[in-house]
Amino acid sequence: MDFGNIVVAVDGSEASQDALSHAVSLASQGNTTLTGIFVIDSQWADFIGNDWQSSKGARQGFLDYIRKEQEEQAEAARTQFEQATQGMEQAAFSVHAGDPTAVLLEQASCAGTGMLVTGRRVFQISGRPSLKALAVTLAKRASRPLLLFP
Amino acid sequence: MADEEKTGSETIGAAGAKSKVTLFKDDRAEDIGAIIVTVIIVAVIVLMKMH
Amino acid sequence: MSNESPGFFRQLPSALPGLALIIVTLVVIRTWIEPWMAGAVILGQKGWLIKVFHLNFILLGILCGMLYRNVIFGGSMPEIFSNGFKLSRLMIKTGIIMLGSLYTFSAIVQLGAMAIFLIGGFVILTIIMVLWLGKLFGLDRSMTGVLANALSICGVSAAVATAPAVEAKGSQVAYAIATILGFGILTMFISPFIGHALGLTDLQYGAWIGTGILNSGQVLASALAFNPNVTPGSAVSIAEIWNIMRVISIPFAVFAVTVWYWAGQSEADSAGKKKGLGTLLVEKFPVFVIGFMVMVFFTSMGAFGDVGIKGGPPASGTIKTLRDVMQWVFGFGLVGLGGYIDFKELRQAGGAPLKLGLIVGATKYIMALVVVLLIKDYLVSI
Repeated sequence: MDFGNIVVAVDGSEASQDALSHAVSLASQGNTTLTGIFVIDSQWADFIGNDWQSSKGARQGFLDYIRKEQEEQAEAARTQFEQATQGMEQAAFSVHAGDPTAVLLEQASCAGTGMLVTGRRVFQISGRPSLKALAVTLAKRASRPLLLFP
Repeated sequence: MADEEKTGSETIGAAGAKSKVTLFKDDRAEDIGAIIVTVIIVAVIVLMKMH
Repeated sequence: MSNESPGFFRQLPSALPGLALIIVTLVVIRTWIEPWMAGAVILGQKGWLIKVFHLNFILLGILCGMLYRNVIFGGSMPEIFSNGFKLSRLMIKTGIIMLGSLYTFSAIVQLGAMAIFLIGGFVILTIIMVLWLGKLFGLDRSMTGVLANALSICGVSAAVATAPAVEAKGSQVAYAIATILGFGILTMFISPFIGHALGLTDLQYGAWIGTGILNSGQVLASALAFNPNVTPGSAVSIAEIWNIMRVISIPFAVFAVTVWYWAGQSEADSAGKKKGLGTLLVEKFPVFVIGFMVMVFFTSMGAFGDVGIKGGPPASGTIKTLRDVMQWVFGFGLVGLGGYIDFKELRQAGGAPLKLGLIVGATKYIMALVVVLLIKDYLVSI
């Protein structure tokens, strides 16, 4: 069975392991391309933006700190993806920046995506509270096939 | 991708520019900006009231 | 990866659409909506919206900002307006510096002393309560540290200042922030009601919310919502002294919590990560406070004429114009801040941080009111 390109959300944690393993086996079976995707959340600046008081290092220092945490996670996600796809020829890993919900939704609605595979708790380790609703939003609005893991 | 000889994954895409809360270099620059804006506003008001 | 963003002046043109939206919003509110509300007869009463809901241009401005993000733009600021809204904090800081023209040095000393007394007491009580509840709810030390400063000093600014120092995870800070913002927004809307219902004076109200409301954005908003006038002794002139005392104390609070946090970690872990008080002061001291003090200095010297203290000569023309401008500047800034309130984040707040935040926040809010009412005879007016 041909799924077309399979896109899987990977965050380097256990939350994405099941989804990743499944995506890898689907891609191998169907001999299709597999794209691992990690999203660096660009919405933190807005999230802390309601507060006006600040000092030199406080706000920007915090944004840099969160950014570093997310870059480390991106690295962990890449390692996780590489380990899972060892020996596969058609595997690529990509890092995006944006609102994780919006980016995944775009992937789940893009004609080039054969199927989006993701865990329900993906991107929550350094995520904003609204990411808890990520899976619900995807389920409601995705126009491409979607495979959700608990 | 297909004509590349490789056995693992490759990384594509960029992480994007670092996010900022302010248009200034940092928060201290914003503080100084606010001081400058205040000086301008006060100067304009004082000058207006002198005439 | 290129991390350098273009300078302020190069980004300024891209801020114009957002800035225009903010300005137009406030102009429409003040020119048409407010006068309409004052004259409109609802339920047989003239000006019902103002008398019952205490709506004024400040609250309407914040509501419009919230409406833009959450309803009209469907949950996030469109790219075109985003840079303009980033200017809102510049406006509020400008307003705060101009606010220095309301005080003389002796008034600052009197108010500041009261503020230190009240804030100091509440900071200590709040921190003890958070540390105790944190243990009770089984929160880890990073989370407890962030919540301790966020709930005791000034909300989001203290939370983000503390997070890196205690190695808090992004999601931990996120839940702390959502809790603080949710609680802050609730208190911002109910405080003016309570204040009017209890017949609080501006001084009592300012001291109460300056102590009891968690987040600096909401302290300012709630003070102006109670009384939009910017004059010596008005709610905003009191509450902002409290606010400034709080922001000055951030470096010290971060230092204290850092010491507490690393005391529970091994020596090897803390090497090079623990910052000294000197470093924290340099890094985290808010420079706009210096601007504010310079403004107080010029005002005390009489550079702008009489300030119009009660019983004294009326305010000079310069001072009056300054105050009108301040109202607009604060109004613009608060429309902007309203645009940063995101309901989808607040809706998902939850877990132990929410429970702890609500218990501590509500206790502090109520206790602050009780204490202010108890010591009302000792509060000195300026």
